[in-house]
Parts: sequence; C-alpha cells; structure tokens
Amino acid sequence: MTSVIVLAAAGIASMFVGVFNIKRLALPLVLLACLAALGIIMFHYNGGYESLMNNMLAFDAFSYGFSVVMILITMGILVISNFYYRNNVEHLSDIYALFIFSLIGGILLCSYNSLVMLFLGIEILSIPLYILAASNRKNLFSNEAGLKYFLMGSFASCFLLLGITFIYGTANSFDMNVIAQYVNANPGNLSPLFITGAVLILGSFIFKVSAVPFHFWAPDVYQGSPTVITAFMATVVKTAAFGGLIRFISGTIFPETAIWSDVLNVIAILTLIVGNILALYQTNLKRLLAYSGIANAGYILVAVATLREETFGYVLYYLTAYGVGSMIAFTIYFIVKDQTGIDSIAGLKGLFSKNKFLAAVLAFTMLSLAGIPPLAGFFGKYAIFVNAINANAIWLVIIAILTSLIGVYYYLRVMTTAMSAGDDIPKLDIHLSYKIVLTLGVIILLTLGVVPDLFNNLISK
Amino acid sequence: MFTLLLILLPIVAGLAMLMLPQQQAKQIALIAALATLGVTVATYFQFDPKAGTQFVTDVPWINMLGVRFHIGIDGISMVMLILSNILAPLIILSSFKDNYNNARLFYGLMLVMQGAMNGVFVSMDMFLYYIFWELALIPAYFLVLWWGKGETSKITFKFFIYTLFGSLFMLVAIIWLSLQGATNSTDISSVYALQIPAETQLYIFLAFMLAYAIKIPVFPFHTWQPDTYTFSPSPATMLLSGVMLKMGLYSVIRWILPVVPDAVNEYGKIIMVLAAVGVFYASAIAWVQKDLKRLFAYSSIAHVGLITAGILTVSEMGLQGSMVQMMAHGINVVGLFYVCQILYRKFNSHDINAFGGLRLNAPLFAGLYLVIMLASVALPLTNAFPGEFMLLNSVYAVNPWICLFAGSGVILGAVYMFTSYQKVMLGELNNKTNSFTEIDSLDKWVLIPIVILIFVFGLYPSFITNISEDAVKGIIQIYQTKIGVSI
Repeated sequence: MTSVIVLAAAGIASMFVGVFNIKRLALPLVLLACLAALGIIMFHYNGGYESLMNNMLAFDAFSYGFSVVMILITMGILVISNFYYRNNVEHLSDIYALFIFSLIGGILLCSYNSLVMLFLGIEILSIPLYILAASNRKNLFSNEAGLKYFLMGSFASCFLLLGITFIYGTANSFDMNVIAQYVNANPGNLSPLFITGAVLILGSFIFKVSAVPFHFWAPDVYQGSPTVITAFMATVVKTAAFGGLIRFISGTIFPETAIWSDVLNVIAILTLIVGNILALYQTNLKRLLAYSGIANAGYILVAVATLREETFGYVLYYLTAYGVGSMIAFTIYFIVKDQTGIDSIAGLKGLFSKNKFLAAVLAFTMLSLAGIPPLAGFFGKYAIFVNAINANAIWLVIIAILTSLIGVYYYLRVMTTAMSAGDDIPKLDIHLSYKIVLTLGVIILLTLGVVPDLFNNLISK
Repeated sequence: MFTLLLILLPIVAGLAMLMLPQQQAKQIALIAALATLGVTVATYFQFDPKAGTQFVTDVPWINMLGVRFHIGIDGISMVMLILSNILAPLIILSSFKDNYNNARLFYGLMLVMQGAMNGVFVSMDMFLYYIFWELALIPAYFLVLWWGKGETSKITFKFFIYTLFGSLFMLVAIIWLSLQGATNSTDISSVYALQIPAETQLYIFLAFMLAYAIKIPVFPFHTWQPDTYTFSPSPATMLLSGVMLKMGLYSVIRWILPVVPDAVNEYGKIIMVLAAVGVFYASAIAWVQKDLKRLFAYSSIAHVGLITAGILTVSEMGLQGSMVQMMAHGINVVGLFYVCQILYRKFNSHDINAFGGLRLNAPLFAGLYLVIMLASVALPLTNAFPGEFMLLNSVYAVNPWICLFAGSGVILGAVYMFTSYQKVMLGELNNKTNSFTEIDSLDKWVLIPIVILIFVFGLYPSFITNISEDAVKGIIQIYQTKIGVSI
C-alpha cells in the first residue's frame, strides 16, 4: 500500500514541478518514485496475504508479480517518453503524472478484493489514458483515438457496473470472499442474474484486453495515439487487464467452469484466428503491432481459459516477453518514423545496410514475438501450451500453433524486409536513452529465454 | 565435458567472429572448425561403443517444467558428430576462393549452425533438442536470405515457414509426452519409459513424422528443397544437404522408433511407400534437369528417401545401413556441390548443356569428379555401396515391391549421373569451355580428402557400424520389447 501512496505522491508532485517551471526534475522524480515503489514492494512483501482497507484490497503473491512487472515496464516507457516529447516540453510533467496515475490503477486492478475496487482500478487505469491518447492535440488521428477509446471504454465500464450490480444483487456483497462462498454454496445452481453479471464483467475485460469480438477499437486507437502511449497501452494496460481478469475468475467464479472456461475458449479461438489473419494484411507497422497485440491477447486467453494453480506465472511470463518485445518494436518504429517519416513495413527495406544495431535489435524482437527459441517469446508460448495440454485442451493448442505460424509469417516479413539489401534509409541517430532501453530489452528477451527460472524467482516470494 | 565443448566451441567462435576483422574471417572460421574436429577426434578415441551414453552433462535447467540440460554421446550420436565435424572444415575450406560480403557474419552464422546441429545430435532432453533443432534453422535462414541468388526472400520464406510448420506439431507432441510421466519431464529416460496407448501413438507419430518428413525431405513434403538448395550460396547448400537433413533422419531413429513403436509397426509402411515413391519420382525429375545444382538437389531427395525407408524397417540391417549411408551421402553431396561451385566460379552458370570437354583441359578434376559421381551411384568399393546394399536388403525383407521402387534410384541415378557427367566433362570443348583450366591446390585440398573418405568408408564401412552397433541394437531392443508388451 505504501508503494501506491509513494507513486501517487510522486504523480502529484510531478504536476507541481510543471507549475514551478523546474521540469528537468520531473523525470528523475517519477523514476525515483517507481524505484522506491519497486523497492518497497520487493522488500516489504513477505509472501503472505495482506488484507488492506477493510479487505477491499489484498496484496498477495499474484499482485506482487504483476506489480513488479508493470512498474519495470513503466520505467522503460518513462525513459523513452523523455526524448519522445522533446518538442513538447510544456506538458511533459503532466504526461508523466498521468502515466503514474495509470500505473496506480494497474496495481489496484491486480490487487482488488472487492468489486468496487475492481471498478475503481479500471477507471483509474483508463481515465489518464483517454487524455494521453488524445494528447497530440493538433493531430486528427490522435483526437480520433482519444474519442474512440473514451467512448468504447465508457461503454465497457457501463457493462462492468451493470455486471457488478447483478452480482451484488444475488450474492449480497462486493467482497470477493463472500461471492466465492455464494458460488461454492450453489454449485451448478447459480441464479441466472449472477451468471449474467459474471458474463458482463468478463465482457468488459475482453474489451480491455482487446480480444475479439470487442477488438475494433484497438487498431485505430493504437495507430492514432502517440507512440509511447501506444506502447504503454500494449504493455502495462494489457498486463493490468489480464491481471484483473485472472483475479476475478480465480477469486469468484472459478468452480463454475461453464461460465468462464467455455466462453473464453471460444473467444481465445476467435481472437487467435481474427487477430493473426488481419495482421497478415497490414502494411503499416504500427497497425501490424496493434493486430499483433490482439493476436497475443489470444494466446494469453488460451492460458486463462485453461486456468490452473500455476497459470498466473506463465501468463505473467508471457506478458513480460510480449511487453518487452512490443516496447522495443514501438521504439524502433518511432525512431524510423521520426527521422525519415517512414511508417510502412515495406519502407523498412534496407534498414540493415546503414543501421546494423537497429536492424539486429528488430530481428531479435521479431524472432522473439514469433516464438523462435531460445528467446523469451518461445518459452512464453511453450509454457502456455504446457498449461493448455495439461488441461487436455489439445485442440485449442493446435489452433494456437497453426495461428502462431501465421504470426511467424508476418513477424518474419518485417524482419526479412529490414534485413534485405537496399539503401533507402539513411544512418539514423539513436538517442542514448533509446540505446539503453533497446539494449536492455534485448538482454531481457535473451536472458528470460535461456534461464526462465530467473523470472520465476523474480516474481515469486 | 567434450560434449559441451562440441556445442559451445563453434557457437562461441561464431559469435566471437562478429568482433574480429573481416579479412581473416575465413581463416579464423577454419581454425574454429578444425578445433571442433580435433575435439571430435579426441572424443572418438575415448569413446567406448559398448558403454552406452558417455560424456554426459546433466544439470537442472528449467525447474518449473522439469527440463534438464542433459547432453551425452552414444554410438548413433558419435557417427553424426563425426559426419558434421568432418564436413564443416571441408565446407569452410571450399569457400576460400569466394569472397562473400560481410565475411565475418557469413562464417559466424555457419559456425553457429554447426554448433546447433551438434547440439541436436547430443541432446538427451527433448526440450533441449527442440531448442537446438530450431536454433539450427535461424542461421540457415540468414545464409540463404543474404548470400543466396535470385528471389531469396521468397525462397527463404517458403523454407522457413515450411520447416517451422512441421516443427510446431512436433513441439505439441513433445509437450504432450512431457506431461505423461509421474513428474513433468522431457528427459530421454522418462520419454523412453512411457507406455503410450497404441491409438494415441498414431498422433504422436504423425506430429513427429511431419517435422522430419519436411526436414529430410520425404516425398511429397520436398517442394521447398530444390529451390532452396539451388539458390543458396554453395557452403549453405552443403551444410543443409550434408548435415542438416541428417537431423531429420537421426531424429527418426532417436525419437520416433523407441517412443511410438506401435505406430511405426502399424503405419511405418505408409511412410516407406512414400519414401520409395519419392526415390523414383526424384530420380525421374533429376533425369530431365538442365541445371546441374538442381539435378544434385533432386538426387539428394532420392538418396535420403532410401535411407528413410531403411530406417523404418527397424531392423539392424536397415539402421546400420542408414548410419553408413548418412555418412556417405553427406560426404558425396558436399563433393558434388563443390564440383558445381568450381564450374560456377568459372562460367557463372550451372547449365549442363553449356559445358563440354572439360576433361581435356582438366584431367585431374575430371578424375576426382568421376570418383565422387561413381560413389553417389553406389559403385562397389565406394562409400555408398555398403550402405545402399544394406538398406535395399532390409527393405527387401519387408516388401520386395517397395524395394523395387526404392532400388530404381540406383539405376536411374546411374543414368542421370552419367548423362550429366558426359555432357559436362566429355565431348568437345566449345568457345566458353576453352578457357577452363585445371583445378588449383585449394580445390585439391577439398576434393582429395573427399575422395579419400569415399574410399576409406567404402573399403572399411565397419568403422561406422562398429561405433553405432550397440546403440542401434539398444534402440531396436526398446522397440521390440515395447511392441511385445503392448501386443
């Protein structure tokens, strides 16, 4: 809890720093706050179950793992955004503050123990994002992205609230422990109202993770938003949303597999097929990454649909591998777009000839996203398949395998294009902070792939 | 320790290449490959064919999934390592006259590929095996993409997607197998110990066989191969055909026969028929090729078809024959593709009809080429003869008709090999071929060792069979016990 307070204080302070015209301090301030929050979580948490605020929040091993990953990725994105907003310094400290507030929402979303807190978490996560998505005011696409995300997000929130109301009406409490008792007391005999409520909540999560059939907003919002915001949405927000989803299922309706497992099976299959096939037809790199985000949500849903005790570690591993990979890909997209104006995949042709470092990093990332060993992306998929086969969902795995082959095709196309001969792209300058983030990212992808146990040690106590 | 060295030496050398100067890249690569060969020879001298799996390193790796870093060398692995590490220095030497752009990357990738292939041959854990299996594919992909000719991005795409398609099903099968034991484990001992219901075995068999049939390649999964071989840079073609396809054949012996014996017993014949049809089909197509490199590519499909059929007989004769023949095919195919490369350097073409009369200007070259060609049509005294004889013998014991088809490769092979030789080397010189001169000492350094190896293994095939005998018997014993048990 202290970590959330530290973050919140830093977020507010960052806004004041903006007012008093000492903006240079903003980045060190928020980074320090992230580090402090990370330190507090890592050293303070002892592996048990911490009930907070009248059992509205519960900090446990699950929240621990998700919080650590989300804070680490946020720090990477904060570093990138410093250079990204170099021409728009006036709002920089506000932007940092919004990132931090959104991160707080993410942490709450992975630690709630009451449906009220679930709602608050999602809203704290989303509202800063509505602003951030539209933060490039002079760009029509950015405005469109913000509006679209806001409208669709509010719509999903309505469903969420309605679902919470239904559940409250039947189980007589917001408290997840009470709801779980209600579910256990009525096996196979739940009130239809309760089932409707649970499905509505699932639906709003499906919207948040941009799974089919609620994925239509994602490509436009991803493409229109400023690239760092897109990177944040594709990584931290997705992690938080999956954290919330798993927490909801495991905390309440887990015994009633008919409600969630069957539904998520179908949605996972749809997401895998639609996401991967639509990604095939993209010519714009950022849009491709958006569809790849949808497709990757499908793989994680495979794991969620076959949820077991140890699944959350696998999901978190996958989210980290995917998150780091996406962050690198978005960064490279930005570097190329920023200096040459190129944003298509075909435009990357010949990147290798004058920008060896950038092309090599891109190749690593694409291979990892495509799931080629020994990189992290491969092991993430492997763990998810192990989980699903353990639950006897062989067909789900075969569909996931076939669609991942489509994934290999479009990721490899990006890599092959960048690696082919050509000299259209001049030598690009890479800011030091970008070099650091890219190098660290590749190291993480390699290390996590070769020594997956390392990750397990990091996220578990 | 030796085992680890055989994997790490080429991979580390390959990565270190990237930091070394471009000019000396060839020499450094050759030294690394020779050092690996040295380690292989040292391993061979300490290797005891009767002692099972040796030079074992076995440490826990990924605890949460029961994966171990378990490597070791048994008789079958030893033969494959000898093949891989004899060929690597020869292949690197064969490229000394060609100047590839960004040489250190080129040779670095070749070394990494060699290390990964060695890894495939010594992995005693299925997960680890899969990692090396895929790791070998990535350098191959870049070698063809960057240094190949023609529309490489299309060809490499087909190659990569096709082979990955097969491997992914194998991955599902590996995961499934790892979950069947009392504790999750992908270790060879626990996978071999599984008693899988006969009806489930079919699916595992199909999943594995698809991966291997594409890699080997077995008809009708071969369509990626001719283009890839033809348009790859010569050293990559040699690595692909000489060593990489052996990964598929080796894996059939290592992972299919002992794990899903009932399925092999029941359905292996179907694959044998496909392989035999492939022998006939590929030989017939090779006959009408006008491009010499493409002709050799098709002849390679024919040869490995016979090996596949022999392995699936699961007899000692068949398996031992396959060991001998894998070695022979690897050596011969490198020789043949090097002949191609010599011609290509001079004429910038592989067109058979454009050549003629080279024998007049280059008698030594003609002689060496003749020996390699005779070896690849399995003339007695050459290395391919004992192998083909044993393979055909074993296939005949199963079904004479399959043997007839599989044997057609030998006859048709003689036809197309002799025809092409005639057109290239014999006859009269023309304007273009007038300028052809005798091969120089560097070419001799590649071709003469190959010819020596052809005769050594032709006269003394028991060198190979002695190494692999016990391991092969072990595999057959597991196979037969399991079949007996489940009947």
